[in-house]
Amino acid sequence: MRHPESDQLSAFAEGRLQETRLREVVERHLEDCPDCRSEVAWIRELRTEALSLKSQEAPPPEGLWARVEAGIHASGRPPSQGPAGDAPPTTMDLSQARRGRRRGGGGWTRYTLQAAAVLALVAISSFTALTLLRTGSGGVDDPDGSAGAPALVAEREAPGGSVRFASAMEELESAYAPAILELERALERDRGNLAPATIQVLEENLRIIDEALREALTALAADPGSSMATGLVGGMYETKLQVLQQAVRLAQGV
Amino acid sequence: MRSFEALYRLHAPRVYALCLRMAGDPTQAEEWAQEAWVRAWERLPGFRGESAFTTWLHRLTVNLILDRRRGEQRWAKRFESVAEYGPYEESAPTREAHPGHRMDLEQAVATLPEGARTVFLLYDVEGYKHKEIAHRLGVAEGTVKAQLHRARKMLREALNR
Repeated sequence: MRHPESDQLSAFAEGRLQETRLREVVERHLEDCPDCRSEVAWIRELRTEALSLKSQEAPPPEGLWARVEAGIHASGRPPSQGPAGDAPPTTMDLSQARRGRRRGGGGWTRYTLQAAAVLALVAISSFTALTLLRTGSGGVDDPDGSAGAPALVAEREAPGGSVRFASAMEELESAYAPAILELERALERDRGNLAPATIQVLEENLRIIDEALREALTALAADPGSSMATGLVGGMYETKLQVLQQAVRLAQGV
Repeated sequence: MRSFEALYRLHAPRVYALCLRMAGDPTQAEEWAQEAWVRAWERLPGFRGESAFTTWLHRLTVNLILDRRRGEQRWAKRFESVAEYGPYEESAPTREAHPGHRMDLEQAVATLPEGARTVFLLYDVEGYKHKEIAHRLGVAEGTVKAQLHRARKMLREALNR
């Protein structure tokens, strides 16, 4: 019996074998060859399991942040000065608190979570529009791309004509605030399903995010043209959205 | 900086885990993680919100690791030479597999030789295509396919499936 080449078998297992005739040849072979059937099954099983690796976490070594900070200084982009004497915030991993979820029913319907997800997408789109106005260019997020140009006054199309915002900060807040509010309400309704330890982790993470967000917004207010400050504010809002989404899913058992 | 540090605190575990998976060595992982965060600081003005921040950060970290790998000439030579080898005739795995011990996938991946592990992670975990992996690593596409086949076979044996 002549077996398909390993490359062909892999392509078949992954759904990449486009040529119909070749695909049919492999299918017919698999009907009679348990070894190749087993190989195809293994590739599919492995690829499914491999996806779980992507979201895994590991505590970074002690002192890594200090080295990152030193690297940033060495790169020639000194950080803005923050309040003196404050200890760096610490966060706990919310994913590790998952095991503390309390069992129980009740709470919002799934519609609320979906509505918040839609609002989150709108928030992201608005942020994109804002930054495109800043940079005057299009294209997908490319971390290897260059930084954008200084900001213009924020403007967005709305029914009845374009809406001009007094500041980029106002635009960002209007983009993200509704989604965040919706998620906070959903979480408030269902927080009874979470274990106290989980709630503690969540509240601490949100406190750190809000504190950092306030600082970033202050920086943006002081320098509306700063693309760095815009990036920081956007990053913090996105992180807050993700943390809230994760918490709501956990609380609703989704 | 406190805002950026807050981002670091929240996302560092995932970035470090990615570096550790790719490096198979905590020292190298720490070095890459540090560089990734410095690069994230430098590139933050380019973050446009078109993807989630975690996605942007993840992609940045993988790209940095690929850049570093490609720059290691001795690594590319070792990677290429594996194409001529049989399954076990090459450099020792990062961690030894323990016969009879039922390990999980993460543990099994850590036992793979460097080249096989890198290609497996890029292809089956990160979703890169053969051609892209070959280009980014500076090796032939056939070598990438051979390494992937080898990785999958070794994982199957390690996991007793």
